[in-house]
Amino acid sequence: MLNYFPEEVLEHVFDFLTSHRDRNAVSLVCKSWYAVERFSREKVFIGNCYTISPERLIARFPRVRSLTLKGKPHFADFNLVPHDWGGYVQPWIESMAKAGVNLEELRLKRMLVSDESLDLLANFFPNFKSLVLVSCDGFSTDGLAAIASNCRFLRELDLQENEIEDRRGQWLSCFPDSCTSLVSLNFACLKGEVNLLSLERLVARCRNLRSLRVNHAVPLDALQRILAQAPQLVDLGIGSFVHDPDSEIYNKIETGMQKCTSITSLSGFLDVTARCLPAVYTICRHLTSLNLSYAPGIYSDELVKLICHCNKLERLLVLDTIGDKGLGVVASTCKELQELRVFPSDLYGVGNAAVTEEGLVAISAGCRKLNSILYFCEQMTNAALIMVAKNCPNFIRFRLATFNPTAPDAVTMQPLDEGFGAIVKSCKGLKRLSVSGLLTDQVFLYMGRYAKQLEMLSIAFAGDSDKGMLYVLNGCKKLKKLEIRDSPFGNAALLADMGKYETMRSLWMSSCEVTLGACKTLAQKMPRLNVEVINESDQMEASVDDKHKVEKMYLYRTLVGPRKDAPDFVWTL
Amino acid sequence: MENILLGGGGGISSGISTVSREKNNMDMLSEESSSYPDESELELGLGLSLGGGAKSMSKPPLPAVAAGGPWGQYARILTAKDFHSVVSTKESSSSSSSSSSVTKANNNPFCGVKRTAEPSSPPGRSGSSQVVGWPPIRTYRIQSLVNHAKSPMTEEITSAVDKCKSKNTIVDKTNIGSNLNRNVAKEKGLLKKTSLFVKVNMDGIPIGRKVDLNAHRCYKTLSQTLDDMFKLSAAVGAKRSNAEEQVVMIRPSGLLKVSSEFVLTYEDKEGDWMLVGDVPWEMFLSSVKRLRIMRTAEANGLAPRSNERNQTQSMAPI
Repeated sequence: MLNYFPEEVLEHVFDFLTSHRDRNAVSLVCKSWYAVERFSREKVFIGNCYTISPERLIARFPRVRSLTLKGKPHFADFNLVPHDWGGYVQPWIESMAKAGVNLEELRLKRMLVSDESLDLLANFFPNFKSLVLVSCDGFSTDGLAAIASNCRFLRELDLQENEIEDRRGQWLSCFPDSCTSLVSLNFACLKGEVNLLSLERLVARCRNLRSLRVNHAVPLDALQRILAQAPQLVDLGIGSFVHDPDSEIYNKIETGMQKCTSITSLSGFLDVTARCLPAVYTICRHLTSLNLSYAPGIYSDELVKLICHCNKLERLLVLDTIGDKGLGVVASTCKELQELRVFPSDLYGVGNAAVTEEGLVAISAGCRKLNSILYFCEQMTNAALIMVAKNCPNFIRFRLATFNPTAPDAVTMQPLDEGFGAIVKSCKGLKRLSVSGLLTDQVFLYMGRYAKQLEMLSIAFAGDSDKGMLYVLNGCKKLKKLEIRDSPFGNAALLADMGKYETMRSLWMSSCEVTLGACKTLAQKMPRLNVEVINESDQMEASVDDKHKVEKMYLYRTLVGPRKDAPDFVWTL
Repeated sequence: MENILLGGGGGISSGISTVSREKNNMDMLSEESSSYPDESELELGLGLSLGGGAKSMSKPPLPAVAAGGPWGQYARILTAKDFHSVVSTKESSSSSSSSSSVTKANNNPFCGVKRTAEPSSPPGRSGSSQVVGWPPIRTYRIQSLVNHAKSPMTEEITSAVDKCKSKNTIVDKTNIGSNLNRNVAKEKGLLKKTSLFVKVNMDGIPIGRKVDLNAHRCYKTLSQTLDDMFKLSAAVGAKRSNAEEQVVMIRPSGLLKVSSEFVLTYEDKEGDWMLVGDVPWEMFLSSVKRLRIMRTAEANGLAPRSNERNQTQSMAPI
């Protein structure tokens, strides 16, 4: 019956499907649906850029307009992956340019981007509108200048936590006077100076600007002038917020802020005088998102005074200077809170444990809508985790990192198995989990038994034997990404269910007990997996014995075989 | 210089804030007490905050630090020299002595299970981080933390630090943590040249001490250092004294807590005695001349502190 629907109708129906998963599912129904779907697909998400080649992407989805690519494995964030491991965007841009793809949006994460790539992007895609780069590197402000100069309809330039070389050019001044289309501009991660006048003019002529995040080089007085031009802003990232609170400029900022009634998201404060913070109190009432995790030197008291005004907050990122007490205030003020991230403030100094399990428990008791947490703390207890699990059964993401990766329960000295067990048991929708602390195989037993929706799991310094890893591989049916470091899992666990890895996106294992021989076996038996071994030591050829333990292994499913751009120290087996 | 580097104490839980933690220290101490010699070397003017309960389980000569007045009779303050033997170096990552791997998992007395994987010490907040990528924080964020650590005094030094962190730092296959540590240590080493020793006197104790305020960046660590310094004196004093002498009870959170016997005060540039803790740390540094641990009774005339700050620094109720 469905075959009688003309294609246009099917296409129209598929238009309503926004999620990638739904569209993927639909394309598996039958050949005609597959055909309709592929011609109508505009947004493609590729979680691992080596799963597929650009050519095959374009062949299947010729009308693609928006592409999201992720490159390096997640542990690259923590310096576990060599810089030039891979993840180059260049081949993708080249192929799309050659094929005449009408690319409008490109979103990259952990990829290597060169100025040349940006130049290509800027010159070969006339309708290019949106560039979002997260944790990328390899490019400079020259590449940004190319984008600014040539993308006539640019709406979004969003640079998040990238390593960008500053060439002291005037990239911001490269936006032509005719550019009035910007909706979102985020250059907070840039290290160098920007032309303030150009910035002010740009803001003034882009009447649709909704999101602006500036870097530390934009001082308070410039900010005041910018806000005067853009009271319609919804998302503001402040650069430098340093001034004498008794000054005229400060008063102007305060009144300026009062006019910005649309701001619901606030971040930045890359440089801040805490005594200036009261200027933002007026916008606090409307805030749903607040990120102070890059704001140095704001004491707990001042943080608390600010947060007291934020009762609509749904998302909060702070440093652990907030303290358990401050978290208590968050718990009683921010009843709508859904996501909380508490980062360490002091890694190297004579610091102190500012947050403990008490803060976490307080939050869980007060913020019942909490569904996502990232918490760095000095210590944790099973009792606390059990309480948290009871208070907040809605966790989708739960990530805990104790400063000592094998810290036991601070009170009982027991492993934290029971605590995390409670979390996975109670939070039936848990999709992402990172564990830390002293953990035995038992916690993995719980995961295998209860974490049925789990998609991503990060393990470090945990477990006693292969059984641990096996519990997870066998029980977590929806597992997509598994990353393990410094844990005693070996060949038996790796090879027990090789087919499992084709149902997953990737597996990372470093400093475990897996040998080269086992990796070779796996690679041989599973041709649709790329099994890569990263060997950084100098004595390469010499003692490459199959019994040798592998320092770093990364395997992922792929449709296109071993990649051709692997550097010398990466062996695809 | 070394002192500052290791000031974080290799995962030692300074700032013991709950009764339970104190209890643990007590347990640990009573377990281990037999193996430690009763040395009472004093290190004057050290300014190191090492908290309580720090010990190494595999190195017998290493004495424990007293966690509190009533239950600690060991009073040696650990110095950098002691840590050298405990902190593992990179070269030793391939060697693993069976029992020392336990302790190398930091100077944290709580770690009980042997790790079969890398025995390097995951010190978390120790200045000599040996574990690559732990705690799991993005390089970008680590760099911004390091930048925050810069003070106006060290502009020249930090530009040197920046040069070390060239754009290819991320390419660096070595432990970025330790790279940054070394650079920051250099910063701090140079910082240490400008130390700020001030006198500290405690009511009832004839001999005063000196503490380097520049070794600290916040009130908590200063307070703990003073606790350690004066618990010792109190303990010694209590031992020597007769039964009538008041036993000094300073809780670990100590001197800034309202309900303790003593309060920490300072004399400022204008000659007034003020309660410590009201103003931001930097402001305090710029106006303090000397410290005095005053009996609460005598401190009544001083300016009342704000409740917030008091609560922020107070520990769990007893």
